[in-house]
Amino acid sequence: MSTPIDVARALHAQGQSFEAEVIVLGALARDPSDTDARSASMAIRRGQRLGAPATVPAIDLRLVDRWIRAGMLVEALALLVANPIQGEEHRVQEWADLLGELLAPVPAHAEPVFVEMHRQLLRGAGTVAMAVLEDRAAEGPLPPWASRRLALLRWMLLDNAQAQVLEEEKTLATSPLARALQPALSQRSLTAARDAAGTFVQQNPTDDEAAEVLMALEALVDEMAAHDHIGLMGGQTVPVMGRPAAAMQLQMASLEGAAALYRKLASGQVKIPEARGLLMSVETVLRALEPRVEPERTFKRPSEEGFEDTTKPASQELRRLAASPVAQGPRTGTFEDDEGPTRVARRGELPLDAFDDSQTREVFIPDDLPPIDPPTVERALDGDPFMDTERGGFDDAVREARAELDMGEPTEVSSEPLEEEMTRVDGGGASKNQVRGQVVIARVIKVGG
Amino acid sequence: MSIRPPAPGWTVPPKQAGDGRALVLYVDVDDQSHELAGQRLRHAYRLLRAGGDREACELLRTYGDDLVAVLLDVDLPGSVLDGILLTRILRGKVPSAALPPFARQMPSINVPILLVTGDLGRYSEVELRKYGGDGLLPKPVDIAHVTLALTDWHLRRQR
Repeated sequence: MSTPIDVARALHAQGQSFEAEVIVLGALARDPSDTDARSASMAIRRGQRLGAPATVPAIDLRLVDRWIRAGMLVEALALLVANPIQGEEHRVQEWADLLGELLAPVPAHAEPVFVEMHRQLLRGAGTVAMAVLEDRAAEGPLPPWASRRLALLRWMLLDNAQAQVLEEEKTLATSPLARALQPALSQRSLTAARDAAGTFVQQNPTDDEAAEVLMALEALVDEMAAHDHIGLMGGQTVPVMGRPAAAMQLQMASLEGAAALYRKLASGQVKIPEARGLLMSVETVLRALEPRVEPERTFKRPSEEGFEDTTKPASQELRRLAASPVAQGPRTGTFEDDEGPTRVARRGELPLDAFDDSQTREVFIPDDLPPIDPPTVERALDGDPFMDTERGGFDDAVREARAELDMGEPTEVSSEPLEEEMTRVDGGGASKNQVRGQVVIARVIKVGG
Repeated sequence: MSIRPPAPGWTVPPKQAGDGRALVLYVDVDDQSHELAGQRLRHAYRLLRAGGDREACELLRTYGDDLVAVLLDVDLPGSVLDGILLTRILRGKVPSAALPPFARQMPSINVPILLVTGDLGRYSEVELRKYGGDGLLPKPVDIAHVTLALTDWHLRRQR
């Protein structure tokens, strides 16, 4: 089984450094004495590149499946989010969602026992976390989210451990691609295997794995051709080493032998740069030939009771509220899954006159004003009062509008009138650092207390 | 101009007991992003939505203690403060005098702040971390990315 650190190195080399780092952190949380993980963690912290893995890891769903069964849930989630598994997008998404739910933090004021459960999950002790939840469940009913996590843990760690035993009893089957390649490989001809793969790709143009295998076989056939002179040496007895020796293994269609040699060439003291690519090509073909059992999680998934999708299309009234100037100012808290605002404010509490024609002035910002880049804005904010900050002409326009606006008497008066000024930016400027279009300014009278 | 934060009549409702899921504040002007996020995160998180900077500040004052994370759109079009500036405010990196009144005297929060964008290529995660952010997520957010970013935060703190 590929180690998490090998996978982290491979992901880091592909530029997926965040996911690689989480895998390293997960490995370190599981085993603080893991020297590989520790040195990888230190390298990341120093901003150094991680070295290439000793062996090129096969990253597929079977690997993720094994990691989940072993309780390496953090590493499995990071690998699924990095998503280097082609052709399995749907299942990758499904497993990532389930792991995302399982590892999610507990609520802010949760019982200590739930905090401990989460801590155990992050340190790779899934079975301990499950025991913690089961003990708590024996004392009293769990909240719905905790019940579901317990069910998920049982499903992932127990039910599927049984499924693994059943799977191992099944007869392993070869894939259609492997069956297409086998006759040529039986005749010890990689060239014929390449031709067979080419035919298979033509017949199955959407099969990404077949296309990958075809490319790998083409690279290997080219390598054989590059070292073809070895066969012309006739009766001479000369020692054959290095790449030529591996090419001879390819000529005999001995993929395991070639892989072993390329592995040595890629990791030995005198590294041969091409060896790594050739090793990957050989391993790609070997993977395609492996008998496989699809990792099926056949047990019934935990119930979604209490977690129904309550998202509904917003009503016209809500849309109108959301689009109104009032809604652009502060409003009451709204939970995404509530049917509507938690509390709709009474009209008298909110700025009724906001953006009324009689109370507004419009100023168009000239298009030729230079945009201000974010660092300039940041510097200005560090030193100066906010309202003096130049933001691509925004404040100039506001000041101009303010000067033009003759507001007259407030339209609503109470014992404690509270004046508020509101601004709204319309038009094409999507970023306020590059405001373009129209500034509307309005005087708003709020009734105090 | 006189403003008292929070202004009367703009106060948020009393805290709700909720349903026990972890509470996350998501600040984004786009309704569709809110809906998608609510749908995708619902199994583990309860989303509290804010459509702009002012509303975010109000909700942070009221629900700050209950949150496990804050998701902020980087751009926040239509707001005075963008996601980066809000992050710096919440991390106490901007002097109060330099802030609009509604953003003054904000409580400091000790939960991860994840910035959200529809265009990952525009921003450097390293830069955003300097401003006090704890991660950069693609839109629309989903449960796997959010949890992975929060896991990263928890594991870093445990070290």
